[in-house]
Amino acid sequence: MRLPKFDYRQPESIQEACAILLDQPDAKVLAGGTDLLVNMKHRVETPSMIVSLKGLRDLDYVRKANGMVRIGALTRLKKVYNDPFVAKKLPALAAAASSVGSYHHQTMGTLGGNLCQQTRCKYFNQSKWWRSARPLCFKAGGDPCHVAKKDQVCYSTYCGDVAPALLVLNAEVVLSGREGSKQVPLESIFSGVGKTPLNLEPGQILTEIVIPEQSADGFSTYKKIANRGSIDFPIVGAAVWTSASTGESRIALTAVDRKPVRTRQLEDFLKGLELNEETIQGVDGLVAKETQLMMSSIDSISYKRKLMGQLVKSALSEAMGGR
Amino acid sequence: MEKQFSVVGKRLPMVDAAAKVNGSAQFTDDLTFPGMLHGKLLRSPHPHAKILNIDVSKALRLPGVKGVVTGAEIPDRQYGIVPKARDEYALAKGKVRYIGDEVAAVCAIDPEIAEEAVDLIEVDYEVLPAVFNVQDSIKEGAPVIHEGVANNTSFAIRKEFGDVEKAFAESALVSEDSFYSQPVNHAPMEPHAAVAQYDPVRGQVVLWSSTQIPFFLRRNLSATLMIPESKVRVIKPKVGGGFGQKIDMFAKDFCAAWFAMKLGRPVKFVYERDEVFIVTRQRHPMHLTVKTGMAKDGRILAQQFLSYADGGAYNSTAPTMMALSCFFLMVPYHVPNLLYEGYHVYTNKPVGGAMRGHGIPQARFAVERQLDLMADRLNLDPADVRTKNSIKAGEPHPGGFVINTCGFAESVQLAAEAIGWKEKRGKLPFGRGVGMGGASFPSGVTNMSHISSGAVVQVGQDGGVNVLTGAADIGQGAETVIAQIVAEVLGVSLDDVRVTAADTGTTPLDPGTFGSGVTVRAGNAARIAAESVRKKLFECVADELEANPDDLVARDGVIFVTGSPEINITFPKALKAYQYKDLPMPLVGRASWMADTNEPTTLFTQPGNFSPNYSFMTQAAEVEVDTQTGKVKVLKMVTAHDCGRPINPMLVEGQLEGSIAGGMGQALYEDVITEKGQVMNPSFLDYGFPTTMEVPEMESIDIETDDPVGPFGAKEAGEGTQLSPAPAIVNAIYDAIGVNFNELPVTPEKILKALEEKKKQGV
Repeated sequence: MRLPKFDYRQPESIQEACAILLDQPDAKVLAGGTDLLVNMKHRVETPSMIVSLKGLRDLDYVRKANGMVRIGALTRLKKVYNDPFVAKKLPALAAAASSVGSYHHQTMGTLGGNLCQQTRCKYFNQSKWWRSARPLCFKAGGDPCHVAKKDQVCYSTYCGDVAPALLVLNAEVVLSGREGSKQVPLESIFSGVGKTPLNLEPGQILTEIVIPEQSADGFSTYKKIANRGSIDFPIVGAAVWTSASTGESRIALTAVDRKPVRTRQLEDFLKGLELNEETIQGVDGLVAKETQLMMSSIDSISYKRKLMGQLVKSALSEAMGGR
Repeated sequence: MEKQFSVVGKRLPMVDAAAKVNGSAQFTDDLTFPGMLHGKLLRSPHPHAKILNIDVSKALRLPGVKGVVTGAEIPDRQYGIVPKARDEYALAKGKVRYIGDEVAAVCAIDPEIAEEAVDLIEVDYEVLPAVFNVQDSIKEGAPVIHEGVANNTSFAIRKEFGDVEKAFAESALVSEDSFYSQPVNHAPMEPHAAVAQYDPVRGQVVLWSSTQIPFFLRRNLSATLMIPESKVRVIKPKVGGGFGQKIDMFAKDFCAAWFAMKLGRPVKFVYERDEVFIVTRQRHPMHLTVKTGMAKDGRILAQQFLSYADGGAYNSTAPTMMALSCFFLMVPYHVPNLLYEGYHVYTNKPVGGAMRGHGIPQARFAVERQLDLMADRLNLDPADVRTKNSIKAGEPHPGGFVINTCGFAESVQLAAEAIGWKEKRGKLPFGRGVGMGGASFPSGVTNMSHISSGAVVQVGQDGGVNVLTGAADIGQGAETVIAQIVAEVLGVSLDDVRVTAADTGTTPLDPGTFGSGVTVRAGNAARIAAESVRKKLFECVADELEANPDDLVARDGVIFVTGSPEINITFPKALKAYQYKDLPMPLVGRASWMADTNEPTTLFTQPGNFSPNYSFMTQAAEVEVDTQTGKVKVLKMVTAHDCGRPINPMLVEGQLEGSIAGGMGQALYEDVITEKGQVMNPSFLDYGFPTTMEVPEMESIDIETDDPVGPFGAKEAGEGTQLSPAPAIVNAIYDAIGVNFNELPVTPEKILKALEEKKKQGV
């Protein structure tokens, strides 16, 4: 498959990039390209212009300052999980980044790009002629959702590995625009709307990921079930962070809804409870309530539901051992 | 002791290994020609529809478009590898029968424009009711997929010998079980491609194609383009895998040639990956019911089969596939009474075709599973049941096969030992288990039609050997094997031999790569051609060596008198002597070989021998089932294998390892999932076949037999081992968790469901 025609710009500064994006509302940002280019080949994204961030060299770093770990959005996934502090103190992030796709995706894909990846669906991630056998789906510009069998909705699924890990590490992200930048909780950029999964304003670019160093105090892990060991999106992925000192836990899931999901009810339920075989017994039921599984992939809902419960339980069991 | 062979039996790298590693090997898509145009196909978005009108005017007006062709313009000639089963046009005429059926072709100055032009073609369809499974398709009143084919059943086979009913009555146990094998895709690394060039002065079309069957392709092109075979030249460049998927002609072959002839410019077609998945071929999904009568000691007394193959929209190899599926129930076990009924049924889905094992893996899965089920019911060891039922070399065969060598019983025993059968079977902790499956496969076909390979061996002045063969190396190493055979016969090194292969304009006739016949058939042709060269050379030097030509031996670059190696002449000197006698250079030998046969017959109604010889194998697996996720990890796979004498053990191992990955795919990972006839997972990502990370520890045990028919005693090694891994794995899953799965693939979801049910029942 070939790329459609597009104009290409490679700005030298964030401000210039933002200005171009404001000027060209249907332009798309190119970081590692592992998500965007495939979608363009499938013609589900057909931007008139690509704004490559390749020229913004100062967005590639992992550094610590003032109790924060700051990671540039263009830092390659491989560099993220190879960073000694991340590898040692933020195991959930290291595990998530090193489980993305294949090794090749990890050397090309960036942390910011991975967070901003498109939602996925078996009716959407297909070639143009494949999709011509059905009415154009809502996400691709038509009306129906073939998953929900309704109009004007989209139940595509967010499948990124890194987002749940960063959610449980309480990460924030810096969004840069022409007017300057602001730091917001990571969770707030995910809209939960299948058609437009990211809450980014026109001309805004995610430029930095900020993780409080306190998140390094505590147990964290990311667990993923995928078809194969070498390459694959998660069938389900779960990240867990727990603190022995405060009795708090944070849990997030991926590939279970239109956005990565923090399971707050479950967290509340676990608050102050001692984690043991008994307390984690009932977590499956609680997890299921906080997600909206749909048949957007070839894996069935019931199978995903079973895996989801098991993943969270096994991560919590590990946390018990880790304390 | 005098060593037996110098080149045959050696672990030598493939002759084209270096070129493939350094990237200089030329595959079809690597070829470019001045002025070359690029083609794309418009495909049906409907599973079943009448074509009312096609408007190509907008496409033709797009700058850069050089031609558009539809089914209405091409000759009324169907193609297909089995002449009596031809039912397909290169471009649909009046009707489409599955999502992906070819409707029109476009050719333009670059692939982007061609793709854009395809979108500009407007087609009016009248959508027809469609059927998506065998059960619905054979019903009265089902939509008719091909006019004149009643119950959408394009092919039926019935074969019977002995007295099945009587044997069932005498059996200690009669079991009837049903099985299902899913559709899987070959997924060769190289997508299907073709480039055509036309010489208007000579009226000749040259087609470079990613094909397994250059000569059959020539015949099909000649028939469909309506030009003589002598005006069609098919050249096979390097081919990046076929597995049976490239034994058909496809629209890309025809359309490339069509446009080249019309436009006088070279034209290239390359399929996308989703096209490879959807519009080429797949393994037939098959429903199979097996009724077996067994004596108390586990001897098979009779078997009765009823099979339905879901062929999709066209026949492709249907009759051959059904025949193979039937005949290979007669090996490796002795079945004294047999009744087989099989039906090939059309549906509005992707087309079934030849795929590694070709109809046999589905049947083998059923039988190997049922053997374990019945052994369990009779409280017998499945390994013993297999050994007990093994056919034996030299004994009369109920179906008329001639079995000269058979290492099957030994293979069961050796595979069992290597996997630790006695210590492990039934004794491992819950979640772990061992299982086995047996199989046998033909080395090509004897009786079905005229199937013969030719070879020409030329030796030049400097001692360089050139072998002309029509055999199609598709990555399996056919050219290496043929070169080793020739080198052995002539007593030269592999480096001295060059193979010129698979060009219908220059190389001798060969049916191509299918049915695992290449080593035996083309290998024998090359052997005899080389022997004829050697004979001429021996006659030439006999006087000088004062020996009888019959007493001479050629080995390691020297011709010597047998028993007196000091009386010798080097190969270059012998050649010089040949030249000085003014005998014609290059020194040429030619031969052809086909298996001994009477008049061609289908073997459907009478007994007869199917193949020149038969490989035998047992595979034994150890698996671990994750009871939390339902995932099955194959820990180890042992293959005990009788492929006669391997010409190149390293290439045989490559075949075994590939077939283990393929068998794991069939057992656990792969399924061409369709929704209303549309393939839902047509990509490497979504289809999800196993990768290196999933492949288990592999051990291969060679059981060497010296087959009298194969070259240097060789038998097939390419396909047979694809039959037994899936049943071995599923049998091991039973040993691990006590659940019998009779439907493939055994997905993690099915495992979890079964474990839950088991828990509920409190078993």
